Amino acid sequence: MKCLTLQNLLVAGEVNLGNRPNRKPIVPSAVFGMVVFIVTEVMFFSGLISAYLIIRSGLEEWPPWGQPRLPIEATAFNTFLLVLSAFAVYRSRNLLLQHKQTKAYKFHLGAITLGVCFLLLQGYEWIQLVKYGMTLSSSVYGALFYLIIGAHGVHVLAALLVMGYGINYFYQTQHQGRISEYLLPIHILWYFVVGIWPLLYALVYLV
Amino acid sequence: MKESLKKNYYKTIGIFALFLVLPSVLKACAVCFSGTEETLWAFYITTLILIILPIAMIVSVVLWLYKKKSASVNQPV
Repeated sequence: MKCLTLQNLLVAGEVNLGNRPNRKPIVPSAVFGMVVFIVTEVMFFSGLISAYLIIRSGLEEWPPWGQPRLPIEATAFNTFLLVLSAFAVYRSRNLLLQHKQTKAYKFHLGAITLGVCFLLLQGYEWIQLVKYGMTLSSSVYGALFYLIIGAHGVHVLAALLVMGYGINYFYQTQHQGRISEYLLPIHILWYFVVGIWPLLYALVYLV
Repeated sequence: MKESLKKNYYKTIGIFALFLVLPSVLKACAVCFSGTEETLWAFYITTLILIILPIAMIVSVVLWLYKKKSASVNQPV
């Protein structure tokens, strides 16, 4: 087995090293960078989840008495919207690989729209919860809820901004035919943001 | 020289003796000593997950890169 050094694995970019031919990297740097970023974000959410589990295990009653009931059904619909957006991204990617860019663009826009709907509905739910007295400082239950769900919401917002930036590639003619390569890191980020939500929903809302 | 070595020797013995005599056990960990049984188990399990998870992810990424490298090497020129 050859030595698994990072340099060995990544292969230098398109640099001509004298007698060696130019070679494409086996993994684009943007994709590798996004994967490393997602690994760190997984650890971030793992820390939040472990804090939630430890604090919750120390309390006899959960949720604590006097706290409003979480909107499980409305958030289930929200979850459906978010998962649908992931399918839209998947479909957009498939269409890009078939060079059907106009249709892919529509699915890309559809995914962004569904993500925006998710955020708006979550925001509306939060306003209702605050009206019923559940805030960051009302109890440890409120603090954990807003911390974990809020952290995910910030990630969704950031991913939406990045998806919005990705629309540029559909308009730039020099990228035609290679849009799927440029959008791959953005799609990976969206899959992560969607993938982690069902776990958080089950942990915070259902269990 | 011998006297200074003797001095250092006695100093060391004295400090060691102090460490044996002075400290007492402090049950300071809030989870281990004042938490409930459930909290302790939650702490153990989540600590285990937080140790295994980064290792598993890094190993997965390395394996993925290795497979990509093998596939690119086996591709016809």
